[in-house]
Amino acid sequence: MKARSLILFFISFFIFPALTYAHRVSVFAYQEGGKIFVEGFFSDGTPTKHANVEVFDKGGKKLFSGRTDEKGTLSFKTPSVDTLKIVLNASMGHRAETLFHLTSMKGKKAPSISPSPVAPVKDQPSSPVTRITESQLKTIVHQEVARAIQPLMRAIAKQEAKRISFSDIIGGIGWIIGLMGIWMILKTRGKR
Amino acid sequence: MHISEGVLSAPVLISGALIAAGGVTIGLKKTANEKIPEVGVMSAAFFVASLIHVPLGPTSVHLILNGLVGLLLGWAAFPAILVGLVFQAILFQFGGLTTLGVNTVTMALPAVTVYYLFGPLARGKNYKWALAGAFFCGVFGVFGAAILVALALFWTGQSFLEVGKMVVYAHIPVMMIEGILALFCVAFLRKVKPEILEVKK
Repeated sequence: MKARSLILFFISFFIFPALTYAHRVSVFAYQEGGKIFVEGFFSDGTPTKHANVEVFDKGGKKLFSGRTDEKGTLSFKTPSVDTLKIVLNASMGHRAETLFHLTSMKGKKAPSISPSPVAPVKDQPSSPVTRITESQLKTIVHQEVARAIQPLMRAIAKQEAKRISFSDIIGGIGWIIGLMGIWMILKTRGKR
Repeated sequence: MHISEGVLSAPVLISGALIAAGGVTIGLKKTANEKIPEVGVMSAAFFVASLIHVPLGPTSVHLILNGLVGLLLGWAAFPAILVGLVFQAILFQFGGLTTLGVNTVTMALPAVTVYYLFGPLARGKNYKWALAGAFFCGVFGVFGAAILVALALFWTGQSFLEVGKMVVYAHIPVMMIEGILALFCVAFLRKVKPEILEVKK
């Protein structure tokens, strides 16, 4: 009876955390309307309020620094680089970083792909429909798609942060028990 | 309480690793064979405790359980906590592999300290004082860890008082919960299996 309640007692340690989330800081970014939005949160979903955010380019040059607001978010003007390294420093030694690849909307790519494909259409009778060049169309589609998938991106980023699964927990416990067993074998070997 | 990767400077990381290595060595040597399963169980308990999030106070905090681990294991808290931290880092991305040493020290050193400070009380004849001792173990395990985290961050250039205050304040709920948890554990163990506690008769 005593042994059983002891076992139950220790098992109770392992059962109830399965319902809760854990503790780690995540940061993610998305781009909208010429601005980059950065959002940070602990993996239980609490936003990282007033956390320090620093933004670097590929070479490590600091482009921007600031603090998140009450909702753990912060935004700044899109800089003209391809890749951003975003570092978030929450209090008490919690830090997270992410690489963010900018989708170049107006810049370099679009004109080079479309060397005036609209040109031969000139002699057609001009219709009342406003013409849109291919590059403009691309830009619009790009922006709209980016806006449409933005909530998805957010959801995915948040999901990733909550990724701690039951199998991770059980696996970790299994590892610890295994190591304990190895330790016992090593310690008791040759003493019999 | 886990300090993330990339926050601390190299000297702090290295000295943390060295102290942790020393503590683990002492812990491994001091552990009697019969105690090994207990170390394993406490290590596993420590490993999952960090998933128990405490939704009180200004920031996101979780249980640490280092006071209880220290009370039951003494120096063996070092290997137990190190192993727990390794798997927290690998599986949950808490802390990080480079900060393992520092994190081990911040949590295991207070564990050993409460073992010596309040252990005798928790093991003593007087039941009421034993419960008080257990409570203090839980509270000061977390408190010590908070102070050490602040100290580690201080050597990396942050203001000790400011960070220390913040870490301690944020963990007051955790301290209370862990104190009560340790109290119940000791009450339970004294009734059911006093050998684990090595209660004096």
